[in-house]
Amino acid sequence: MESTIYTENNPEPETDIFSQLITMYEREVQIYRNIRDCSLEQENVLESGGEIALIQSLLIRKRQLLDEIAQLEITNSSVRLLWERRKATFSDNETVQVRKSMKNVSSLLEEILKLEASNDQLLLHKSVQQAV
Amino acid sequence: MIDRSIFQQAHLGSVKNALTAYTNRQRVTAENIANVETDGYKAQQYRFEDMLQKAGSNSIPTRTTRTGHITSNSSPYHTSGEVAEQKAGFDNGVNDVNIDQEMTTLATNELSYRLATRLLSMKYNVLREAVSGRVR
Repeated sequence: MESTIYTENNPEPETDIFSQLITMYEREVQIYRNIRDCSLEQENVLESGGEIALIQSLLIRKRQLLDEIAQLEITNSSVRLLWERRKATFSDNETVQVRKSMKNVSSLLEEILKLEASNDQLLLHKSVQQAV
Repeated sequence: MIDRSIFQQAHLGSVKNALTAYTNRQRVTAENIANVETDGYKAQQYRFEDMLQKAGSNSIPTRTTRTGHITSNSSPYHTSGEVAEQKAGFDNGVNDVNIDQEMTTLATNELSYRLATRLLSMKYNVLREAVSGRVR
């Protein structure tokens, strides 16, 4: 199947840009939720005094998920650029939906970072307990 | 004036502080790893979560679900950390550097740094969307 090449004379349909952007953010939310689940599991492992090897395997998983997001953003960089250029031509409803998706991702990231800070603290306590 | 208010609301400065803290912790941890075989070396740690109690309350509340969690309404994003010697006790035969612990700290810190970078980028995007929004 031939892929369509979009040029200035043959621009990508705006509905495609919008739906691709929304799909990308939805996928990001899914991946960040997986990262959050890993962080919660890490918290449980730290609380129960679990093996450091188990924590390390969770860290590897989280790194893989972050790599997946980076790849997703690289793949969709042209869509984001097109959205920026043609933003004025989209409806208010579409603009609001994109903003809402971005805020969802942002909120999840804040939640994960807070969890990570708590986990760092627990890891520190664990090392102090080991040392005493 | 309006710009300043928007940027303050977005907590951009606090995320930047977090990035600085993660960078400092990475440097301290890397130093510990580099000195794992240095006779008599004392392992250091960069603590900024501990500074929470000293920080003000004008920040994002942290998550506290278990005992041992920080109960303050402060956030690590608003604090500057401190470098201190780790509590003595571990002995690797040469000094007190626990290489497993340091490698785990290095990995968690790297992840937090990446997450904070993404958060900063996303906050800029949200702001850009808001600032460049159309008026009909």
